[in-house]
Amino acid sequence: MSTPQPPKPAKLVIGLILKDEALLGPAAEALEQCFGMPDMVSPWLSFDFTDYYQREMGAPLRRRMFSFRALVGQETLSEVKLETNRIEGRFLVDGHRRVNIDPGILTFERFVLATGKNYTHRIYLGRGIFADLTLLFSGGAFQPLPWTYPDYAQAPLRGFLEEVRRRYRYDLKGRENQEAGC
Amino acid sequence: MAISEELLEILACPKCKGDIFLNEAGDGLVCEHCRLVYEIRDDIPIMLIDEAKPLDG
Repeated sequence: MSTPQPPKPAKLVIGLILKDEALLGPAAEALEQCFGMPDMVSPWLSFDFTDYYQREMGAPLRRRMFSFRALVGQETLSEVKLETNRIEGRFLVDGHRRVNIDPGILTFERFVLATGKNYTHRIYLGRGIFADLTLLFSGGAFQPLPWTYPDYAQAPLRGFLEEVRRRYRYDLKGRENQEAGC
Repeated sequence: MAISEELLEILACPKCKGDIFLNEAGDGLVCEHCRLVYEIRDDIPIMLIDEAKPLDG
């Protein structure tokens, strides 16, 4: 019988999709107020793999990724998603989102996004939120799965997440040294 | 592992979200707009605003 143990804390990674680049500052500030300072920020990435969001948010849409300095408990992902939903709500105009916010957690083994939409491969976390196993780390790189969103399967975003993973290793090492009194 | 050009293409300044570039010594990432240098330690870029050093320091 395995003995249950708490997992290592995870790196919080949040993606923003928006059309109006002027909203990046206020949206990032809202995220920083909730989750602390970012430690990695991506440049603008194209987001033209689907027109799902365009009906609501317009076009062209672009993406930015943030990772945050403070590690989070893996069990907090649903709470984080509810908080980012509230932040999305602050930017609504006529009931339409102007900012889409996708939070996820990154560990050595995987990258998991939170979503409110059920699907065959998604696991229920509670409070209306599901976990989407988006990328697996194998062979020295994050690997997409058959259901991975196309932009997460592309090199720029995976490259960013691999850099965040390197930072995560550094963070955990620092944390372990601190606990050991080094 | 040296910081690659590829890395520069996947990172931005956490303060202004603008472009960064590798300094001449190869040990820091520079944001001209914020006049800040983000140190690279153990091949990890430390992209923290409160740990960044002034470019002119």
